[in-house]
Amino acid sequence: METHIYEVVGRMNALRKQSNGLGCGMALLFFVPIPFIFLLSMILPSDDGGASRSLIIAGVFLVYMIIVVIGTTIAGRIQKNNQKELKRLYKETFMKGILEEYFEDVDYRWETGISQYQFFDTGIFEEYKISSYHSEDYLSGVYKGVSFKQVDVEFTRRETTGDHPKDVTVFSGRLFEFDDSFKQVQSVKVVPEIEVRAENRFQIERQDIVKMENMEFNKVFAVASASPQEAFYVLTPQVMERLMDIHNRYKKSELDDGSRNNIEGLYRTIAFHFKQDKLYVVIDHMDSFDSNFLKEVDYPTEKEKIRKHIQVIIDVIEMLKLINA
Amino acid sequence: MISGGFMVLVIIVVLIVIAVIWYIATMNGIRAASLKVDEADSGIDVALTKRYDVLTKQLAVVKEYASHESKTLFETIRLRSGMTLREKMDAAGKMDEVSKQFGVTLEAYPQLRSSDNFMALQNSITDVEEHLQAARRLYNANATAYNTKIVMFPTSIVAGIMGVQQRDLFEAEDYKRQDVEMKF
Repeated sequence: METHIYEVVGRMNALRKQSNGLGCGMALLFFVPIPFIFLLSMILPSDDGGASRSLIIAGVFLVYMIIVVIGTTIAGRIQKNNQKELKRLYKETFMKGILEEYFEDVDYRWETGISQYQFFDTGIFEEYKISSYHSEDYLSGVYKGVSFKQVDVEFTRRETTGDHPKDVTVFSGRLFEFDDSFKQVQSVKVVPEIEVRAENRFQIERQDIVKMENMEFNKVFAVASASPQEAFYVLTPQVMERLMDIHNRYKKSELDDGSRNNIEGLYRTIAFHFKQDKLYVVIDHMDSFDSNFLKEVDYPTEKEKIRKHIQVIIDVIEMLKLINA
Repeated sequence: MISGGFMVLVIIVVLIVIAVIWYIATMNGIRAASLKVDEADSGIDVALTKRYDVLTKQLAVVKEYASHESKTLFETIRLRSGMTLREKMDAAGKMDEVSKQFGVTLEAYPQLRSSDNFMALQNSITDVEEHLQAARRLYNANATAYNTKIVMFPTSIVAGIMGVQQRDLFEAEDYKRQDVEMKF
């Protein structure tokens, strides 16, 4: 297994080097001929008033442009294929093995996501003026008896400021779904309080906002449910504390020494939706299981990165105590 | 030209209109908060009724083994419409006590605990207790918000004119505040 992994790492680094080499080659192809064409225009005689010289220069320039265009197209295609192959090797070789170390019944399909309908049917975000939607990295599995699913989702909204409509990214992150809650409720949403006051990307009616008895919790999260009693039923004091723990663990924050904390995948937003027999969790600004393929691939480093992404799933299950007693 | 006297009159009228609007808005705010407390109060009624029903089923399971005291205590529990908060607290307290006594009875009869009836009942008990806790917490949260609202100045002026009173809280000392697994 390890030998196979290191063969793949070797192949990935070779692809990366090829892509980088092509990039340098294209830069040379573009810039190096320019001084020569300039020199040629200087040294060519202009006997007939410069007409034939101009014709030759134009011809040379045309050939140069054709070579550049063809070269760029070929190099671009090779680089695109390389990137795709790098991503495939990374996802299929690295990911599957590591995921199986942590979870049972792993079903990981990196090119597959969920449909736009399925995503908005979770009831977390408002489906309004959506201009683009993309989903990938479908993962399902079982951790200590708890079934879960997760996907990456990104969607944009068409917004008009002045006369210029533009696409604004509303959400780019991970959606988790956990099954089989014994506490069945119609709908209880827990979203960041600051977002309800500011932009409100969430599917929340203001009249549904429920104030909990925990003031600290109310400062961080807003709770919305058509039935306030359902909100109190699901959000026991212990559950509220656990949600706060998850928030404190992953929020972007200033450390005591003034530096920023550097946990991989810090989020801007975390939101929860208890809906019927499911719990949905969304974490913003956290694209799972991807790497920077411009840098040299190092297996232990990549494994650690993937482990940190996996840890989020484990943290939600462990910290919310979703495990069957 | 607008005379100074007319200006003063306009200002006074505007101030009166503002005061009347504020009074009505504040009064509505107090009434809305009071309504929320009443709604939460009726939520307690529903939860208490559910709990009583489950307790009745629990009695059916343990009646052969239950002590005379626990049966007598159970018979003293009376639920009716229009109960005061104190009466509800008493009823909840008695139900708690009966439930505890039934639990002690069950510990002495392991064959009862392993029956399917009992297992299903146990889940119902946990669920109704959690519903009752949720109803109590919601009531207390709404009552606290209401009580805070009517003592804060200047709302307290309107509350005084309306003659509203502080609402009692549903005491929690008899309730277990245990950590319940979510059991996904």
